[in-house]
Formats: sequence, structure tokens, C-alpha cells
Amino acid sequence: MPEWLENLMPNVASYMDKFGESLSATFQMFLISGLFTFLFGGVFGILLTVTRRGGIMENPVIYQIVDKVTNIFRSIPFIILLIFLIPFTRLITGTAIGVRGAIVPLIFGATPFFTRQVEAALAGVDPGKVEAATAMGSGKAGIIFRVYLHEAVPELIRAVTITSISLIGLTTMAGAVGAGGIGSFAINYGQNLHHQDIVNVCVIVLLIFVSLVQSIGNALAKRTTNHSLFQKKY
Amino acid sequence: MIEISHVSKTFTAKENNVAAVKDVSLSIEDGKVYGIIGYSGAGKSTLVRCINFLEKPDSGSITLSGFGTVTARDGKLYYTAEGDSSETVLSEKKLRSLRSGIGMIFQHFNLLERNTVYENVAYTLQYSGMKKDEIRKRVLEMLDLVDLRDKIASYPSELSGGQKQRVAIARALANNPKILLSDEATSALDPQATASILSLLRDLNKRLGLTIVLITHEMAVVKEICERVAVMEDGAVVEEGLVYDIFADPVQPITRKFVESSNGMGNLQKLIEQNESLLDKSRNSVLLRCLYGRDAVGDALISEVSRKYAVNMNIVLANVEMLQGSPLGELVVSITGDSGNIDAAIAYMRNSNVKVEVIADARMA
Ligand SMILES: Nc1ncnc2c1ncn2[C@@H]1O[C@H](COP(=O)(O)OP(=O)(O)OP(=O)(O)O)[C@@H](O)[C@H]1O
Ligand SMILES: [Mg+2]
Repeated sequence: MPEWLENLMPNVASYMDKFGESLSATFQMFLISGLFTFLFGGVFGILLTVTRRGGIMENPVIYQIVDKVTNIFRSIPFIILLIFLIPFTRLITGTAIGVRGAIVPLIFGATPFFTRQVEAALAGVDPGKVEAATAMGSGKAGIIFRVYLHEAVPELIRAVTITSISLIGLTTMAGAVGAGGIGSFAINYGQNLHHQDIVNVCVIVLLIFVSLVQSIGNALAKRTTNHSLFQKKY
Repeated sequence: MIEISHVSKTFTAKENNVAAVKDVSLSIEDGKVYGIIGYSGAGKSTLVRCINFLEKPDSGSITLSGFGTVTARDGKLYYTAEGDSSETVLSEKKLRSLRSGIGMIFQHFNLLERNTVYENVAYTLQYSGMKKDEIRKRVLEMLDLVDLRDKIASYPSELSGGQKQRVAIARALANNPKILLSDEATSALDPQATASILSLLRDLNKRLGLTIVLITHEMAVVKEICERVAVMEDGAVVEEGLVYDIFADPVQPITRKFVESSNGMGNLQKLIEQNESLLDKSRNSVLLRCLYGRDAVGDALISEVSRKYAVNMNIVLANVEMLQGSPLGELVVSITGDSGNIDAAIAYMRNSNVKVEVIADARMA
């Protein structure tokens, strides 16, 4: 670290190792729980879309179950969810603390949010397109992948973007209850030890990360609106 | 042949049920352009969507030559193969093969916005086991057919309405269906694009022997390309026949309205109201509507009759339609003169294959 930076934030410099560990913990939480959130939320969002009334695989039972469960988990505040899920988390990952302990509640916290985002993105696909595909003899899978998901790509990118950003927020909250990561670093080494520079750096790092996610998301969404991601040559 | 037999469809809502299609039977010959006309809510779309089962009929059956018969009963669809008599539940696979044999185009095109023109046209070909170069060959062929080869890499958002509909037509015909359903395909287009799409459809009908079922609410469209037409009102087909015959002799009031709306004769009633001198009560004056077709010549007849019977004939409105290559003329004339001569003149015209209708008669007043 250059000298001037060291002078600017002396405490960060002396806890550099801890800071690095925290960053890596946050990234691990973010990536692993993000992966599962997008997977599960995607599947549930598609389920809601195809099983709703007038959907291509109308099924009131499945729809009601997914819809209600999503609503229930959406309405529980994350801090409560963290505590509520402790026994379940232990069962799945063997521990309720550290990064591994945080993954399960993070997935439960973000999936309902992402599910609704996906549902809304797919609802934005003109039913006329689905109808045209049906009329051409397209099957269910064809309609889901080639019409719904493909046409909704820009909206899905926006959904991934804001879910990612809110997931970053959730990881810092999980940190507050012992999961480690940048959130707990800010509290334990910044706030508790009265090192304001540590808190400031945490804020800046999060700000940079969030802006980065947001601008990549925006650019990709814009690029894929009424357009394929890559240039097509014929 | 598309044989629609006793098809009914009711939409059930909480409060009220809508009988969208009521016991409709029609047969549509192969290679013909068949029009279905009616006002909004008449059930046209619902009926046509029953042909490819986008809508499941409550009852009735649809027979497609080369495929077989699908019968709707108790909320289920049953399939009978051509020349067979045993009935099985219509499988998903069979339904999809039926749909592959029927192309469909829509008012709002329904193209995939994130796909290029090429990918849109290739939709039914991709993932169908067809080889890549074969797909390419077929897509290029289709794009040549609709004259859009230069737009191959464009996206729908970069095309005009008329061009979008051309892409939709190419997409609908890519895997060689024998039937094309067109649901208000020109309703969102300006007159010029409408004309070009209609002439493309006529061309495809001639060149590929494509059967076209065309929904519209404009008689002008029917006049332009249909051979037969069914008029729908309130879920039922109220009149059906050759377009020429429907124009020459519309029976139902709604059919008359459609015919009049397309030829300017709809203004007649207004003209009479505004222009009382048309009917000169002081003299013997009669207002006639004359229809003459393939085997009569209207205008020449007017001068002939007025000379022969010493009556005065004034042409108020005149209109000639070309329907499927045959002329159909319509004249509104006011005729004045001796009462007996007027009657004789009318009788003479009726004998010369002119359909004469007395619209107003001052002698009766
Ligand atoms: N999915 C549906 N659910 C309930 N009612 C419907 C549905 N589709 C159509 N209807 C009703 O059925 C009737 C016929 O509709 P349809 O769309 O077939 O009419 P249309 O002749 O095609 O009219 P337009 O010219 O406006 O397209 C209307 O009263 C309509 O409200
Ligand atoms: Mg309609």
C-alpha cells in the first residue's frame, strides 16, 4: 500500500489481512447465495408464469403453493429470518455461523424477491408472441425458453441487477450476526474500535461494487433490448 | 378442405357467459381465399382460433383434409384419422403436428423482438432436426417470396408495419403449411401497406395453392381478394356465399350495411334526406336502385330506356365494382315522366337482367 494511502487510513492498513478476508467472505456469500437465488427464483418465477390462469400449463394448485410460500417468505424481515432458520441451516450445512451458515438464510431472503422479479419480467412478454409460437406448433419447452425467457432477457438482467444489489445488502446484515464479511468488519473493527476510516472504506467499497453491478446491468439491459447480445451475421 | 361442423364456444366468466361462437358450420375449399367478416365481438377470431385449437371448442368438429377430424366433446378433444373410424384422445404431439400444418398471422404481427428477421423466419425450422444449411436455404427462399432478403439481419423494431407483416407471413409459411389463417392482418397498416400485403396474399394463394382464411371487418378487403365470404353476427354465421353474389344480392341487414359501407351507396339515404328535390313531388318521380352484373350493361340501358319510354332518367349515384374479375354495377337513378311509362320502363329493365329496387316513389306520397 502506498504511503499516502496508509496515512489517509492508518487503521485499514493495520487490519489489511482482516479486511481482505472480509471482502473475500462477502464475495463468497454473494456468489454462492446469488447462484442459488437465481436458480430457484428463476424456476419459481417460471412456474408462476406457466401455471397461472390462462398460462401454458395452467395448474391452480402449484400456482397457489408457490405464490403463497413466496409471499410468506417475502414478508418476514431478514433479521428474523436469520434467527428463524438457524435450526434448518444447521441441518443443511452443519453450522449456523460463518459464511456457510449465512448462505441458507441469504437464499431464503433473496429468492422470493427474485421470484417476483422474474414473474413480472415474464408477464411483460406480449401474450400474442406466446400465441404465435403455440400456433406454429411450438412445445412447452420451446415457449418457455425461446419465447418467454428469450424475449424477457433485458428485464431479467434488470431483475438480476437489483436482486444482486439487495443481496449485497443482505450479506452485510448476515455479517452482523456472525457471518463475517464486510458488514461485520465494519462493525467489529470500525464502529466498536472507533476507527472511522474503516467504516468509510467499507462504505466506499460497497458503493463501488453496487455502482459496478448497476452499470454493467444497465448496459447489458440496454444492449439486449430489441436486440441480441451479439451481432448476427448472415 | 376445412370442414367446420356445428362448432360452438362459450366463454364462462363469473357473472355472465359469452356465447362467442354458436353452432357454426362452414366448409372452406382447398386453394381458396375465404373471408370472414363481422363487427367487433362477432366471434370471428374465436371461430378461426378453433381451427388450430388455440381455442378449445365446447362442441363440434373440425375436419382438415390430409389430417383427419378433431371432435370436441365434454371438454376434451378426440382425433379420428382420415378414412378411419376409431376415435382416440387427441395427443399433444398430434395437436402440434396439426398446428404445424396451419400458418397464422395476426394484427400485431407478434414477431420475436429480440430475434433477427432470419431467426424469426427460422423459428419452426430450428430444433426440428433440420440441418443448418437446409434451414438457411429455406429461410432465404421465404425471404425472397416476401421480398425482404435485404432485411435478413434486421430486428423487428427496425421494420415498418408492412415489412413486419411480411416477416410474419414468411415465418408462418416456413414449414410449408397448406393453410394460412389471417386474423385482421392488415388492420394495423396504412392503405398502401394493406394493398401490398393483400396482393402478396393473393399471389401466395395462386403460386402455392395456399388456402387462406381471412378475418376482417372491412368489406374492401373481402372484395379485394376473397372468393367466398361468411358474415358473422353475434356468434353465428348469418350469411355465406360467393363474394359476387353477396355483393349483388345481400340479404341480411348487416350484410347490406357492409356492402354499402364499401361502395359509397351508404351515402344514399343521407343524400335523399338532404336533397328533397331528388324526389320531385309535383311530377311523377321515382327513385330506383339498379344492379347489373356480368350479363347486362347499365349505363347504355339508361339512355335506351329513356328514349324508348319517353321518360327522363337522371343518374344520382353510380358505382362499378370488379369482383373476382367480374363487373358489378350499381346505379341510383331518378326517373320522371308519365306514370304508366315509368312502370313500363321498370318492367323493361327488370327483363334485361337488371335488378331494380324502388327506393322512393313520389306517386305514392
Ligand atoms: N378469452 C376470452 N375470455 C372471455 N371472453 C372472450 C374471450 N375471447 C373472446 N371473448 C368474447 O367473445 C366474443 C367474441 O370475441 P372475438 O374476439 O371472437 O370477436 P371478433 O369478432 O374477433 O372481434 P374483433 O373484431 O374485435 O377482433 C366477445 O364478446 C369477446 O368479449
Ligand atoms: Mg378478433
